[in-house]
Amino acid sequence: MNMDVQQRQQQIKEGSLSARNYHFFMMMVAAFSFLLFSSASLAEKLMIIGDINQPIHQQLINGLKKEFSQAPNSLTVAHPNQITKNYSPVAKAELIISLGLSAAKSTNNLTSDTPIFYTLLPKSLANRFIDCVAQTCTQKRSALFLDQPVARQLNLIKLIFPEVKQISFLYGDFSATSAKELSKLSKRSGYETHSAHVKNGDELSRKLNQLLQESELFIALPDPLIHNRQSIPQLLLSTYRHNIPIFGFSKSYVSAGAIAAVFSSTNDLIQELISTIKTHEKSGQLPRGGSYPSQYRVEVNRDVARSMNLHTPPPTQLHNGLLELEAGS
Amino acid sequence: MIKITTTNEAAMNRIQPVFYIASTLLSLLALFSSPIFAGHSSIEDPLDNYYLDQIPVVLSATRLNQPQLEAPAAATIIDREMIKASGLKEVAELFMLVPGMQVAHTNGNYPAVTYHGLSDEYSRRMQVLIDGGSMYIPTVGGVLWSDLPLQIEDIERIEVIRGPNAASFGPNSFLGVINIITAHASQDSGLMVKATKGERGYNKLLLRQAGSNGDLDYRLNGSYLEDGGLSTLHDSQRTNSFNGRIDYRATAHDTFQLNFGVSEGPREKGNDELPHHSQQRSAFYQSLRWEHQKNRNENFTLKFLYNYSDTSGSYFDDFGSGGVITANIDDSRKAERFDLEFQHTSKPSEHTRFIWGLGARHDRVRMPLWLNQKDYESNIMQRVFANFEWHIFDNLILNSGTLYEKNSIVAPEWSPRVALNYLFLPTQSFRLIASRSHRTPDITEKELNVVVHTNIEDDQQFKSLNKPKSERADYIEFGYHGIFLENRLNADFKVYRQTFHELITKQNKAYICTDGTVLPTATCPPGSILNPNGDEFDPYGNLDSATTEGYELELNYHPTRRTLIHAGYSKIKIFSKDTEEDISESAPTDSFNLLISQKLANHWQISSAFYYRSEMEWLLSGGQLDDYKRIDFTLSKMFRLSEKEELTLSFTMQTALDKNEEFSDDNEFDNRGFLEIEYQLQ
Repeated sequence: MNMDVQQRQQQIKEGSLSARNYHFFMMMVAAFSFLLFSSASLAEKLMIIGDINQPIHQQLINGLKKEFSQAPNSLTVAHPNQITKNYSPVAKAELIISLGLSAAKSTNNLTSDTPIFYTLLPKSLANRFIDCVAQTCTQKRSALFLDQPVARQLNLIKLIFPEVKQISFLYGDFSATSAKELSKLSKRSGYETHSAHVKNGDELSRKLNQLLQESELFIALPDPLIHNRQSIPQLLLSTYRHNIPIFGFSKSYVSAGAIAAVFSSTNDLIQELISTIKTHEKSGQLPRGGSYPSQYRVEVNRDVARSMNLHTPPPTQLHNGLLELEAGS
Repeated sequence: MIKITTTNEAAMNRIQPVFYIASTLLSLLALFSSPIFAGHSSIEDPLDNYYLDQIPVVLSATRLNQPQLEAPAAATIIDREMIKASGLKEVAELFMLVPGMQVAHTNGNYPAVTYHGLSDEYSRRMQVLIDGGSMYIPTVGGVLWSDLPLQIEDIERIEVIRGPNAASFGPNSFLGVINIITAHASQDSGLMVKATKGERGYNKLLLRQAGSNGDLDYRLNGSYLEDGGLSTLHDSQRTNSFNGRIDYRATAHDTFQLNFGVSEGPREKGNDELPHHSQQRSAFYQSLRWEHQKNRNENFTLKFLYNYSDTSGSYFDDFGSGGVITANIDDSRKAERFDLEFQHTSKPSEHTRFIWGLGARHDRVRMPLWLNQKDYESNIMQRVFANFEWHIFDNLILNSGTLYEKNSIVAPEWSPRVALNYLFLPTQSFRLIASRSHRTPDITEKELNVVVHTNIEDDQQFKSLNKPKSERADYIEFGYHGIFLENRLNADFKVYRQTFHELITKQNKAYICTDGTVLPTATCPPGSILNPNGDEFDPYGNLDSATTEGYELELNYHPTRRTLIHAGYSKIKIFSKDTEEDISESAPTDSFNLLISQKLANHWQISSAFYYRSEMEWLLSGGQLDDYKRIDFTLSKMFRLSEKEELTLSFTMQTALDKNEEFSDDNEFDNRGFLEIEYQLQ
């Protein structure tokens, strides 16, 4: 009887041991699979120029490090202040990722022919670095723009307010190129546009109020002179007073009171960067002349819309609508 | 000795407002200069966070108009465009644009406003708020419209809740609520000078300077007003005022709003019954509000308000006796209000919103004539309120709220409300509202004891009857709201019934029993008999009840962005036993308003308003008024002097038709023209 019990206990013990071994094995497989499929190897050397103290830079760098965690030595990070003409790690890199304006400026010092990929810059600024004269910069240059194409914003307006005919916007020197493009495209789309050039902050209130007299909808073109922490409350309150919806350019602009925006989140930008790096690694190609993010999302402020008696489709429906329109164009 | 005390008191009263302004400004200064709020961290590259950085929530739930399709009440919105088009010069007159509201001048310098009648010259049953702060005066109740600490030009919009809403706005929200929302200080910039010249001695000069300094926006107004009033009455006024608003964004999540205003000046009083004399009025208002917007779905507000008003005016009266009976009457009135309120708004889920809050208030008044005492009387109140909004389905919204108030005058009361909105189409909805609200008697109603001390005897004229308790009103409304023509036409219709219990009214005769009981009827408790002198004064008490029924229609139509058409109609019937006063006559059966405005080329604008009401009789006014027809015209033209300068000329003719009686048949208002010139430098 005792023997039976002992055998039985031994069987149970062995059984549990083998079960434990089996679970351990499966966990190892799962962990290995996770590592295998969740992170990619990186054959080429990558240099990121950015300021780790900036949260957005930090998020992008961490996102890339996580993605390429299998090849930690392939990825180096340098602060823009470290970049000098003969900064040696640059020569070893096969691709430079430049984050933001300070980093972009620092790349002007570089003499090596390592390709440079700019990001965290709107198109108007990125183009200044991409379109450099061949004699002064020998590198292949490209960019992932931070802003969204004007056509995408107009498509969003069409989807939300198909009946709108008059749109207005303010622009400064910073956004002059976007303003020109917006005027051209909106006229082509059948809109009547009203715009005003703001040369300094003192003009903002007056020019905005004049503009709102003849408008049905206001588009916020990214421009630090016009849309900043101090001026955005005034812009939102003035447009709301005139019952004119304002289209922002970021998620937080929508949270602040804009009716809607199309934008790319930090994660969207990370995924775009990863895709660009992998393409470059395989083919040595970078998007010619730079590109807008292909990954984006739509945010709608339903509270503001309801308060203005406006009806807005859900963001997912709008996002799908934008994808369809872009696929068709 | 007595003189010294009075002088000190007067000096203290003068110092008090200055002290509060100074202390608030100093506190703000200290706050702004503290390290916590001393600017933002320097960013080397301004673009790095530009697209992805946090922007303060500006259009938070407290700043947004509640969508009328989903609102648990019928509301009229008077915005800047309507104010300008109306050509009206007084804030109180704007409420002629609200269906069901009555506006009348008891004299040239004192307007009275009510909704659905039930009002004498002091409209005690309406709640009036400026940016959420109650302007209800604790002395005699109601609002001193001519002492409001703001200019008509400061108003962003006025939300008039047509119906009781004690659950959201407090215990005086019995008939309706007027919430005046001033424009954010950032909405004005530069210098404005506005001069108005009108008939009957009307002159007004307004100076405004507004601007910004980083995260701080300010608007300051100084004005002088004189008005000769009616030729048949002693009712001229002169008012000097200074007011302003400061908005400060301390962080991306915290904003502070300071509103303040001081006004002072003499007002003439006197008619057939009241000897001609002058009152010196001064008023001070201050409110400080801190809003912490935790995120888009949650915010906290803390609000402090201090109101002070002082009317000094003594006069000699011989009661038409040729000097046989005389008295020096001290009709001075002082009132102070301290109010502190905390509110938390959150959206626990996509389909629910919850608001709750706590408040405390201290009112104190000194009215020697009305209370027959020289000491201050106080009322201390505490309140707790909550409102829950639940989108049961996308097209079915339930609103449920309540207010519990405890005060030192009457027993605590609950004021609940429940409303259901059904959007049968995305642009059309039905609503069903049921509520119970209470109105706390003001200190005067509770302690009223007017005794005129003549050279011959002490003459008891009015007295509160057995300490009145709260009035109660039960309300039910069925409403419809529709939006048509791509948001260019808004229509609202409501049919309602409201029953009032324990209404505090005046009786013409009182009975005093030998045991001290005061009774409206000549039936004393066992063991006592009627005092023979008991019928010589007018008692106040919970003496009446009434029921109002009717319907209202409002239309807002903007055929183009340059054209505005606003119309409102109200039909009301009041049923009351009228045991003491003609309550059933206190609102017009029919009233109608129409405002049309057209902006023309070259910055011309023309507008006209028509107001009509049928016969009515204000309580304690002495007689019925004929029907009222008034038509106003306004024509204006703006000249752009330079890129930064504008000059606007406008001419308004009020009451272009026949004369009208207001409040009493002695007050005849004839046509009155105004010429206005406004210069703006931005």
